[in-house]
Amino acid sequence: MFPGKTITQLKSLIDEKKVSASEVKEYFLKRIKKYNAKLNVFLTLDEKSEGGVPLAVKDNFCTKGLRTTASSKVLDSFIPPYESTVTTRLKKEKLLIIGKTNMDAWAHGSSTETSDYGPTKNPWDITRSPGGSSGGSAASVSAYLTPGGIGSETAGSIRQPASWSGVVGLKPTYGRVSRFGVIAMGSSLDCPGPLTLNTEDAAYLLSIIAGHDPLDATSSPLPTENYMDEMKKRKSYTIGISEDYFEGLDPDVAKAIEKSIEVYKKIGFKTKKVKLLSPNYAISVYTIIQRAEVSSNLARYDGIRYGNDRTTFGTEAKRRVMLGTYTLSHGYYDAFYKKAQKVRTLIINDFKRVFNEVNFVIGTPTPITALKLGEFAKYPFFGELMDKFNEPAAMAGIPAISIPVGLDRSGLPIGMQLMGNYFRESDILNASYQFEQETDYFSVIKKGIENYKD
Amino acid sequence: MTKKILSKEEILHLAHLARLTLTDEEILKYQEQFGETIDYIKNLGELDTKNVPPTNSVVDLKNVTFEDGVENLIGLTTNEALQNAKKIKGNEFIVDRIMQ
Amino acid sequence: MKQYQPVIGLEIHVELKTESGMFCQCKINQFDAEPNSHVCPVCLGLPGALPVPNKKAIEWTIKIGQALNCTINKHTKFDRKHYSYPDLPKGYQISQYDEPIAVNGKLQIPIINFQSNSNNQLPISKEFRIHRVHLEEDTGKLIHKGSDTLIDFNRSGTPLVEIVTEADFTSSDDVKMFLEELHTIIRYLDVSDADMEKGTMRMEPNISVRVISNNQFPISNQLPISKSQLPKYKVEVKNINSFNFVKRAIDYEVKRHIDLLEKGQTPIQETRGWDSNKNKTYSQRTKEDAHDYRYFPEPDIPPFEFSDAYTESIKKTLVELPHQKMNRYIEIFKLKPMDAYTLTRDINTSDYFEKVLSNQIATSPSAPRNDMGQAIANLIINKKISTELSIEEFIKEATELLKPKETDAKLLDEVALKLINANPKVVADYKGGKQGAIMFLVGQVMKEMRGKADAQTVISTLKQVLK
Repeated sequence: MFPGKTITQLKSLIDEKKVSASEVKEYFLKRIKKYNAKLNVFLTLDEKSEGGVPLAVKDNFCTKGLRTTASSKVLDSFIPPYESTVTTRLKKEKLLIIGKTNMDAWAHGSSTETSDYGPTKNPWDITRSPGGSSGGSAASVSAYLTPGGIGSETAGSIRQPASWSGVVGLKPTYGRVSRFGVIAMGSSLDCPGPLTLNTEDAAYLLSIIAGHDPLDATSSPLPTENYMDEMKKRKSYTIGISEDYFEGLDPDVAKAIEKSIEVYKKIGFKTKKVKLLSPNYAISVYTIIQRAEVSSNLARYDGIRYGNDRTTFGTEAKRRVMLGTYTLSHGYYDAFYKKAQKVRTLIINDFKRVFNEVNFVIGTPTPITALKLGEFAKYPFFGELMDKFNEPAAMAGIPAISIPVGLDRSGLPIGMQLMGNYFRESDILNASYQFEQETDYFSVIKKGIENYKD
Repeated sequence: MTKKILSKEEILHLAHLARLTLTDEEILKYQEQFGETIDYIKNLGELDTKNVPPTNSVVDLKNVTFEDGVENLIGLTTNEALQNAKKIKGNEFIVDRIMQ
Repeated sequence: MKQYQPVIGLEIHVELKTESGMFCQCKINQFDAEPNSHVCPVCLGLPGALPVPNKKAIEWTIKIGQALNCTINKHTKFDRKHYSYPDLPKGYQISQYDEPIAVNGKLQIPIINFQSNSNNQLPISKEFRIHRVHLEEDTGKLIHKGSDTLIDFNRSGTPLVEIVTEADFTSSDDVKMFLEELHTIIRYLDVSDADMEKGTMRMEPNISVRVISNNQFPISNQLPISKSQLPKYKVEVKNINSFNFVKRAIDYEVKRHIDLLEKGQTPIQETRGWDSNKNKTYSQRTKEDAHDYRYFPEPDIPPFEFSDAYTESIKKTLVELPHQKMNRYIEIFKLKPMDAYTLTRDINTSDYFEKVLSNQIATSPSAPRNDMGQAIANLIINKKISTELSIEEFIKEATELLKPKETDAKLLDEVALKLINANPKVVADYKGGKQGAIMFLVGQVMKEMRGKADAQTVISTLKQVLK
């Protein structure tokens, strides 16, 4: 009935009364019921609520009255008595939270395999991971179980699954979108953001969820922009290319990014070589800071006020808590945490310097396309190495987007990443939109949906 | 194999601080993995950070507060507060008696 | 023989009486409320909840710092302090670690000689250093019942100011006076009820005893004691809810430590509790499970930067503090130090006193007496007239009580003459220049007159006769 229609298109249809909201809801519910067993996208569905266009929301956003687990058995039966700011704002705009999606437990991982409810399957190849931690939301959009989704990033958890599942994923500037009600992973890093079928939907969802929230002291009071309008203005930008961000790429991925740069050149963008700090430092900074914050953020789960006790934590959560406890413990703070915070300053200054010269730094969120399920578990530190191109933007808190730019030799989607300056989401969306107009993402998104017939 | 940088006792002490119970298998695994991770993050030593201030928060904000006495928009009823608890008595959460 | 000197420091916690919580908008200080009826995701530590600091709590902490003559740090921040207890919902307390709001203060305590009645010189004072003043959040409340411990989170997230002194105290009397003065100051600032029964003021002395051998002469009583001279252990006593109990707990501990030291043992570093029924301390936990708090900067709260203008604007709202006020009463109103001290213990009493005094002087028909201040002070302190009365009513009664007595002049002349004749030695002393000798006669006359005389008149009559 609505194959491939975007959120904004569906919204228009409902607004113009060409279809009813409940018809739209039933359509997607039917698709979810048809494919969820195969893909393991949704952990909890809300079939009762009415609203407008349905969205898939990652299961680390508290939704009042609707089970929220962060994919951990610790919160197996947790029914939040309050609502996150992001979902409050979506509901206010008559978007329907149709269900909560699978993720890596506590968002610890890049594959959804650490979920206590089993991994989500990549809609492009169900023997593969959709990426993570927002893998459920990415897969939901990719298989068109919902026309859009909400995920969250700590370092790559939107961009990487967007890349592997072949959809658009936007990580906003830290502080642009409220974290209130989002189950914390790395508090100084966490960013909610949209996963969508195109740039316009990303701009639309961002315009709803972005903006100051008095309940989050780290949320920015800077005014938001009209992202939908700004996106459509034809602007010309300079794209920075840093060699370090092309190291160790799969040849198909490298080729696709080079081809994308050609697209940008063709539409009049300039390119410039820039030199940034090696992403390898960001891996270390991220590892230290994130583990430390995780060890602290998971301290509240004592099973007294809610949830199960601490024996319910999975191996990955325990491993991170242990390392974080170590780096914060007496005598190690300066060597690890403080050192990492200082290098973080260097990373920030590095980006600020480069953004004086260019509008974006281009690359890919991940050096390879979707891995087979089970590969991650073989290498405990592998996830961080795989996320090395996501971590610098996360450490600096700058915005970045992943958009599909082709398929590899196995027919798996490849993502391109644009990192932008602080609060320049509108520039990123603009450049992404221009790419979309020029290429239709090389039809990647359309091909993905076609595999999942009504 | 990477060297174990933490003894079993040290791992157990960290587990105690973090209130986690570990199996012997986990202890052994963490000893190895910590070695691997800590070996990797040593690369930060390559960077001179002598006069670099630490970044606690990437948002350029300060003095963020709320005005005392403003309306409480997120208050919970007692039922809402208690609804997810495994064990309650009356209007209170309970745990096994803590020895004084 | 060895000599011993107690080394005592204090940690004092004061719950602020803001309307909202430290990091949430829940109503606090709801002592009679049903358990868990004033809670929200933030103070319950629900997943995803975030703290936002209460502006007034920060201002009040600055104010306390200023009242304690501290330096207010220009840059301050909150940190997470990790430990585990069922009343601590997040597994960490948001507190302050290396950048507290206020540091390096001092408090002068007037030393009042309660025996001395005579002079109105300013009393001497002792000074104790304040190490730091910081702001944090209070925990929930545990109630132990049968085989359960019940948890009420209404108190969770109440702004809690921690005041830490240097280990400057060597006697439990000084500690008690310090705590009383601090309590008075907090009440003057009107930032906390500082009610020990309700637990809105809590005190924890840490105590050790150092050995001073006889040949180590002169004994250094000079403060501060250098770090190297401090004992290698200290014992913290928790859960004390009165100044007297603090004093008793310290005395008990000092004696216990000396007994151990005499036996050649070193007291173990530990936390102890105070049992007010048995009048003794008891061991709670030893250093063995000492905490590794794993402090790190609270990522949910951006840091603070205070401009001079901002801290100055808070300083301007500081009221006259009890010690200053006491000195003013002694100097301006010529009160006896003890009475000035008593009157300034409570800001309502001292306000009342000053109101009466300004009115009395303005409205009294007779010429103002230069001892009016002392006279009014006496009426208030001895509870001759209730301060529950309105100022007008008080003045009416005071005017009546202070009115010069009708004196039976004839009788007075007779009595004066009689007593002068009966006391030739006193008369000789007086005439010989001992002005004070006349007071003996005044007393005798007043006694004989059975109150039917005004003291001033008696004095002038006696002087007249003795001329």
